[in-house]
Order: sequence, then C-alpha cells, then structure tokens
Amino acid sequence: MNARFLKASKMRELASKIQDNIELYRNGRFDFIANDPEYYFESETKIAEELLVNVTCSDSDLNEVDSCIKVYIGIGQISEYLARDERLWVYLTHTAMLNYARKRWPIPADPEKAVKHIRAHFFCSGARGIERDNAASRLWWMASLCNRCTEIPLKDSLACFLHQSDVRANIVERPTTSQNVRIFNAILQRLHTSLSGDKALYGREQFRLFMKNLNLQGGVKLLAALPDRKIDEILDECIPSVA
Amino acid sequence: MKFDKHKAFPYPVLRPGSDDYSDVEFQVMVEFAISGNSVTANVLFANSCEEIVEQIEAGKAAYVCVISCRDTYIQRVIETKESAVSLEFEIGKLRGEVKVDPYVVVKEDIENYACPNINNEFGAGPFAFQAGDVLAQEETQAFYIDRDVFKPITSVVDLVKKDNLTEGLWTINFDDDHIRIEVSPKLKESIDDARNDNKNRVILKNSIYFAAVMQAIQKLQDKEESFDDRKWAKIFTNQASNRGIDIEGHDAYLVAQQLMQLPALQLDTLVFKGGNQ
Repeated sequence: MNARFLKASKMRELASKIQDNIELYRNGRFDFIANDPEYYFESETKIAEELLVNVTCSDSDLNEVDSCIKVYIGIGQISEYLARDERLWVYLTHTAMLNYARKRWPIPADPEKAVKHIRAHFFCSGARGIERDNAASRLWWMASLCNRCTEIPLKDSLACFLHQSDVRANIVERPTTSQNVRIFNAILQRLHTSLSGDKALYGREQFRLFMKNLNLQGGVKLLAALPDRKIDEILDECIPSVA
Repeated sequence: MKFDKHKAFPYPVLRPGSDDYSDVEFQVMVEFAISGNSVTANVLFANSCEEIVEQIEAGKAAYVCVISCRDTYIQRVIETKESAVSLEFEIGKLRGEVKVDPYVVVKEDIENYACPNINNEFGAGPFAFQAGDVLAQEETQAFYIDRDVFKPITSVVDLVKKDNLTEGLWTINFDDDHIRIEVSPKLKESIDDARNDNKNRVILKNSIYFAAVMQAIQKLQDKEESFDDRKWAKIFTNQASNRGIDIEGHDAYLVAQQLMQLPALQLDTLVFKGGNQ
C-alpha cells in the first residue's frame, strides 16, 4: 500500500483529544482514521503494512532488534526527509502499529501520566520525539543509523547498538558523533568487538569515559577530516583501560 | 568541533573574534539552492593569510567544510584546495536546520610554520601542527532546508472563497498550516480569471497578498498568539533566517517587502512600464 500521512490539522486535533480518546488508546482502535480520507493523504512511497502489523514484543522480550528490522524493511528505505515527517509515524502508531505501541509502551493507569505517556510514544513531541520516543519512528531511525555501518551486518550492528540503553543514548544524543558515518562506524566496530568479548566497553563509566575522551580529541582535531586509519588510532587511544 | 570564540586552542587559530592572528582574515560564504531533485551547497573560501594559503597550495592543509543536518543525521565533508567548491545532495538527505562549519585543516604534519601575524603571546615560533589540527575556523552558519522554504513566500498563502462575506471585503485566517485569504465566491471567481494574466498577478501580489504577508509578520512580531506549529510560520521564520532578515528588527511592511523580494519592482517593470516577464 501507499504510505499514508496524517493531515497536520487532524494530528493537532488528535493530540488535543488524548484525554477524550484515552479508552481507545488503552483498548480500542482508531479505525475512523484509516477509513476516512479526510484524515490522511497518500504519498507515492510504497510500504509493506503487513510487516508493520506483525511487529511484536512481550513483557519478557522487547524484541527490539527484530522490530527495528521489520519496520525498516516494512517502511522501506524512504528518504531521511520523509522519515523525519511526524505525520507518517503518528498515522502508524494510531493504525498498523497501535497494538505494538501499547504493548511496548504500556499506558499508565493514572490519567494524567497516561496523557503525557501517549503524547510521547503515540505522537512525536519535541525535537527528540521522532528518534527516541515515538513507538514506530524510533525503530526505523535506529535501523537506518545502524544500516550505515558497512562493516557489520544490520542485525549484528543493531544488537551491539541496542545492547545497553546508556550506550545508545550516549551515541544518539551526540549527533556530532553519530552524524559522521566513519566515526559512527568506528565506534560500532569497537562495541561489536566488545560485545563478543568481555563487554567491558558497555560498562556505564567505561563508555562514558570513552566518549568523553573522544570529545576531548574532537575539540582540538577535526576528526571528520582525518583518514580512517587515523580515526581508528585515535579511538583506540580513547578506550580507557580496564582497572 | 563547534565554533566557540571563547575556546583556547593549544596553538594559534585564525578565526573571528580571536586575536591569535592580527590583520588577516578567513571568511566563508555559503549558499544553498534547490533544483529538481537536488540541493546544492555553494561554498566560497576567502583567506588573506598568505602563510596558510601556502600550506594549502603545498598540500599540507586544505579548506574543509563540514555540512551537518541534525534532523537527518547526515554529515558530508568537503575538502579542497580550491577557493570555490560545490556539493550536491539528494533532496531527501537534508531537512530542517543544516549547519555549515568551515575550516582550514592540517592534512600532513607541518614543521616550522611561521607567520608574522601570529600574536606574540604564542612566542616566536616556528610552530608545529599535526594532521587534524585546525589552522583557521569560521563561525558556524545555519540554514533551513525544506522544499517550501525555497519557494516564493506566497506559496503558503491560499486564496479561498467564503460564503456570506460582504462583497468587496476580504479577511485573513491564520489558524491553518497555510494562510487563508478569504473572499466572496464572486470575487474568488473574478480573481481566478484575472490570474491568467502576468500583470494581474503582479497587482494581486502587491495588494491582497502583500497585505496578508505583512499582517502575518505583524502577528509573529506581536507574539500574542503562538503559531509555532503552523507551517506558514515555520516557512516565514526559516526563509527570513536563510536570507539574513531579522523579522523582529524592522517594521512589518519592510520585512514583507524583503520576504516577497521587493514586489514593487515587478509592479514598476511589468505594469507601469508595460514590460514583459
């Protein structure tokens, strides 16, 4: 099917009626969105909705790697420009991925907390909403970032990227690091090595110190202008030795 | 490496707001243009420090421009010894704020670098630099890339009919993503017919549309309501930023003329003087 985008005015309307629709978010469906063309417009981009409907997780297994891959394949390699459009993701979290969204991000019983929670995970609020909070978009963006790593298969790069949330946050929230494919590649390779070994780099303090050292190096040297060999040397120097 | 005028490098760096060097400058002009399915960044480096230019010509250093888009996690690095360079992006690779950071970067270790313009506080020199060190840095420049940002500002202004409106009276609605100029059905029909003629379009631009754009700017200046989530407000703000127009720094009618690219010129050429366009 063609990718659908919620109309901006309808998205604002839904966001303003979270409280009214709270039972639909908990147990119901938003069929009126998919059934009424007044709510959406279609782009020429084809998506595999059947894959998106089948994205699942359970209480004991968040199934993040598999979910990322399913969404990435299901949505396809759309341009980053389109993938930044909140209307695409809000449509999905209210239709094909509604069940996944409420399973992955259980809605709190407290009504006030529930509204805030829904705003974060069923909509795309704030600058980081798309890449961190929205139940659907975060999966695509993590897969898209890891797919840039040419040295490691996507499943493995996602596994090392998602292994520890603090590590993931440290990378994603430092766009100067993750924007540069060569530096991002080099970091993922070291995480990959660590994951299959002693996992020392995944230690909270260890990784923070690694990124801090890298930031210090990047403060006086323009890493992006260095050849891969030199980037590798600098990164290896930045890895703190295990006490 | 962000530009920070307060940052102290362990070596002299030619940059604005710093006295590491005197009497020489490194300046960079950047322009973005959208054409078809691509966005092109055109970069012009101007460097009056002969000693740094010599290092570039010798291949020991290079002009480098780092173009980064936070929203799409894209970063491209231009490296050149030429003073003018272009880089083309697929249109889907950039969205929202795009930052451009220009530098002169050491490519091969440099020994015995000396320049009479270096501040004496660094000592007599000569200086040594390692690959990756920065010889010169220009302030970060920010641009906003969106397909609509490069269209005429009136692309977010729609003319719509509204029933029960007194004939000849028109109103403006700012509540949607596009600004809506509401006119009576009869006037709408008349304007739609008139739009087929170039001269009439220019007259419309200088009358109803100009007033709508000016009123929109006034709304943004007044800040009595928030229009942050309206597309028209984002386009106005981002176009102004790209073109160095301070929306709040001038009266609304002056800002409107700048955003509409001096529409009175078209009125003069096409209507008053009867030219063709």
